[in-house]
Amino acid sequence: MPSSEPEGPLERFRRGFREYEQESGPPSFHPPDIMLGRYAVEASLGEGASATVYRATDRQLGRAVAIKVLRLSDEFGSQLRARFEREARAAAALTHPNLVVVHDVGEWGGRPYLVMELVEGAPLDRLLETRSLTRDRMLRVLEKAARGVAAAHERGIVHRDLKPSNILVGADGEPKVADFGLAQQMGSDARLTRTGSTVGTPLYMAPEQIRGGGGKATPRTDVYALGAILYEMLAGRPPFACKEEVTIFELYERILIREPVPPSRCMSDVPSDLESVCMKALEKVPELRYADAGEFADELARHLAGEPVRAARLSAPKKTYRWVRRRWRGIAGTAAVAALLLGSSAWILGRIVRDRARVRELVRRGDARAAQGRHQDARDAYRAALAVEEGCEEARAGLRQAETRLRETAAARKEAEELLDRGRPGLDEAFLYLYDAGLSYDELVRRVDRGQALIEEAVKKAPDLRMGHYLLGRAWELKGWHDRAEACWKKAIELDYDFVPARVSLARLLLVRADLAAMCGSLEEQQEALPEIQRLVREAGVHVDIAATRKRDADDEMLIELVAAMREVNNRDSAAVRARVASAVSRFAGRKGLEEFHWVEARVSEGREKLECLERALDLRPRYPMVLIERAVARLAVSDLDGALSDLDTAILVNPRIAEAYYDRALAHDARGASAAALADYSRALELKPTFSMAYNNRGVLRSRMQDLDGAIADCSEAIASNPRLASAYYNRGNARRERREWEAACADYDEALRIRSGFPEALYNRALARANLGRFDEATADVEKALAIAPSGWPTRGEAEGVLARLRMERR
Amino acid sequence: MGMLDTSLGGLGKEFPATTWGLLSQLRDQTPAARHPAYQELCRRYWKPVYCHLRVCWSKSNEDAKDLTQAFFLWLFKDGALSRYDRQRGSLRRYLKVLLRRFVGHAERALVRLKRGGDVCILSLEDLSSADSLDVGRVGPSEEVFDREWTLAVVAEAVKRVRERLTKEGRGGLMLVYEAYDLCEDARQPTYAELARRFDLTEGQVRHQLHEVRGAVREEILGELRQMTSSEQDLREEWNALFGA
Repeated sequence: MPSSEPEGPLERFRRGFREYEQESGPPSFHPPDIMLGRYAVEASLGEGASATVYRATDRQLGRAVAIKVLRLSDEFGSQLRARFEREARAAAALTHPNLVVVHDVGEWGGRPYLVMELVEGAPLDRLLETRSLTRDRMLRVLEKAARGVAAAHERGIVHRDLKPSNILVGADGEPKVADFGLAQQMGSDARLTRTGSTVGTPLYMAPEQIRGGGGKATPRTDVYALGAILYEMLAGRPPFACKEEVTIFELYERILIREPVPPSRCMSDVPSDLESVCMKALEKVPELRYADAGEFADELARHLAGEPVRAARLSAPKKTYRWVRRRWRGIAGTAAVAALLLGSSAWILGRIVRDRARVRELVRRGDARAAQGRHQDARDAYRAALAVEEGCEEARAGLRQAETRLRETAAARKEAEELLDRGRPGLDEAFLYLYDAGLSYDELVRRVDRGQALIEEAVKKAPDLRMGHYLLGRAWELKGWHDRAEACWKKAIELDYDFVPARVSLARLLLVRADLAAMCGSLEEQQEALPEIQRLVREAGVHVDIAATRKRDADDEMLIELVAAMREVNNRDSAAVRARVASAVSRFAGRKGLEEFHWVEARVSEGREKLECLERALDLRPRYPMVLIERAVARLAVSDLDGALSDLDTAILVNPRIAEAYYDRALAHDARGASAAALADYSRALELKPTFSMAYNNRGVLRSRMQDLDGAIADCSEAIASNPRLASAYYNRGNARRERREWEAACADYDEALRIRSGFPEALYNRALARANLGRFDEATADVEKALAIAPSGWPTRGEAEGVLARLRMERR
Repeated sequence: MGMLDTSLGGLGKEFPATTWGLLSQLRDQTPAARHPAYQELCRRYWKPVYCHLRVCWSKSNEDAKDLTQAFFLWLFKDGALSRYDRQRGSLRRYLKVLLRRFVGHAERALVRLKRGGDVCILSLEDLSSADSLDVGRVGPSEEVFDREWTLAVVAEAVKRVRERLTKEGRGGLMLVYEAYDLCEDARQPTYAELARRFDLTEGQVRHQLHEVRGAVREEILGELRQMTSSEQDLREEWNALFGA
């Protein structure tokens, strides 16, 4: 190196870089591509307590997006991740110009992220802080944001964490509401925040959210938050925000008990109708607020258009009024005199009257809730009444009574819980007995009853105890009373929307019903039962989707997996079913209930493979009625009538309440020519399931063959009443009517059958016979010709139909 | 893309929970969270401060050490870094301004430091080299800080690359690089000598050097990116420290 001075370390180092530059080019000063899947992350847009938002580019679509990456504590990690994903997917279904569009969700390095529309602008909290919008402009922003929220309310989605920082105002001035469906993850859930490291701001939280527990978030919860934002716009601070330091619990107490100071006391120029809208939205009792964000937006729109709002109007002079209100009890008798002295009599009296009306309404509401046994709601209503008028005796009395009832209820719950603890082992024992090779129904019922009696007593004592209804459902299910089990679980869910065991049990039951429906009848008939099957699968899907996003234990986990596999059966995705079954077999090895996975696998298998799956299930639970029925159906299909009958006899022996078992056994008896036995089984199936259209239909056919045409017509009519899309029932009734030489009526039935199922050659041929008897030879000829054209080559009636066609052609000549 | 080129934060890097890294911790409101970040800042950048004090303010070795200690303590106590805004220039320039302001009030700061009996947050490692600082050699006073700053940035980047390669079981790659680019001997070895020393071909020597240089350059860019607010600032900071 031509240098007189020795080269220093930094120079040597720099020279190394220069060499590198000659080989690889100068450094890129662009930010490096941080890729989250197909998104190139460019810059941080902001950091919150639980998430960081980045600006990014979707490389596939070439559009700018915002990505919110969540930081979740390990404590909640896995549950919340699943819940985050599902709820975010639900939010992604929302489209409205005032909602931030959710494009995608994903996970990177264990951190869930959400890809959203990028809104270039500022969050509303910043705009409020800097007072950079005029009041009308702010109101327009809020009205539009409320319209976005209303669109979500229409889809049954509640935001739960509306606050100014969640309303992004774009450069064009259009607001967009962000973070739908994320409230639970982002720290508004009281249960999480109390244990988590960060407490989200409760300043916009409705009282029912703070109470937590049974208080469920509804659209009115969002209305409260919108009211709180409106309050901040009018008063310059959110309701209950104050300068002095208060603990979070003091703040909670204020939100629960105190009435907010009317904004006009903070700012002098607050229009009275806006104040009314705001105070109505901030009512403690949800029912007194606007029903949803749409109603709230309408009120703002009315104000902006200069129209009167629907909320009661307020007007000056408020100070006097408040003074009067505070002393209402003391001066009520002389209110008119005092008011006259103060020179504002009309207004004050009007306001007092309105307040009295409000208190009366709250007390009435409290009484109504108390009468419904909703003592917590009653307590809130009385408290709200007392907040308006401290001395209201009715409210005080109501509050005392509600509190007493709540205490009594708590005591009753405790007793009920003890009863449940005592009743549950009986059910568990009965459940284990299901796996006994010598399982008998009478013994099963005896064992279940032992626990069920205690559980029923518990439910009587505490009808609002979700666990009571859930266990009662289990008892009924064990005894084979599916309809009663379903009702109990639905009740448990009604009491607690998030109650996972009831949701998964119900989902499984609905899918079992869907499977039973799918097992009945021919392919065409199954097609006709399809809407019902699809409804059951959809309903089950809703329950399991909700359950999968909630906290759950190992048993729930297994049921969720099972239900997921059952859903794949209905999607006809056999590879997915097999994969799930294989994973479950290793994951849940040795657990009771594993047999159900083998049964589910059998549903997507054929022939020998199917029988092997069923055998595996029966190895684990030798007298599992569902598997026995499934095997019987498989045996019926290959005309193994003895085998089918033996399986069905056993299935009925261990659970005499499955209508489909009797139905299948009736088919087997019928195939053997044992008409009386078949008739008895169809009748028993119908006793158990009075809407079993295929059982009516088949019994009708059987009765027709036994020359009981009236009975046949009655049965087919019942089948049609239960399932008006059952083409074969119209066809069979048509046949019975034709036997009775009622040609016109028969033709009408065939018409209906063909309207539902146009490719129905038997109906065409039989209509042709009826039409020929009416002398309508041309039409009859056309029917036979069409029947011959569409029928498969091996159609058994083909020869006969060709003979009839020849005769008809001769008649026409 | 070379093996050491980065994607999503590079090999073994954390997801950028914040693009602000160390600086965001320095700006944390709670002292408990700030303290480790300060210690890290001191570890990396005490030397430019010390050298600046020795050269520009003609402080003795002991005084410069005391003042360096006091300066970082002052930064910690005063929360001056929480007011740092990237939009207003690089951290390096900001620290220089703070240092100038601080030394103006140094006496008071030192008294306060002694009276308060504050804990020493600074472990001035590598003091032997500081003691032997050749004040005459470091050049014009304004450059001292920048030069030491550059060396500190390089040292940190090299350290991180070394750690990463070691973790990947490829620590051997650093040997050639250290023996060549970081060689402190008066005479730098040739590629042929290095090939003989490490039992490699010359091509392999060239290749390994290339790979590590690329990784170090990326690390340095990442570090500077944290201390600047835009592409333009980053380019200027790069040119100021590593330009021709």
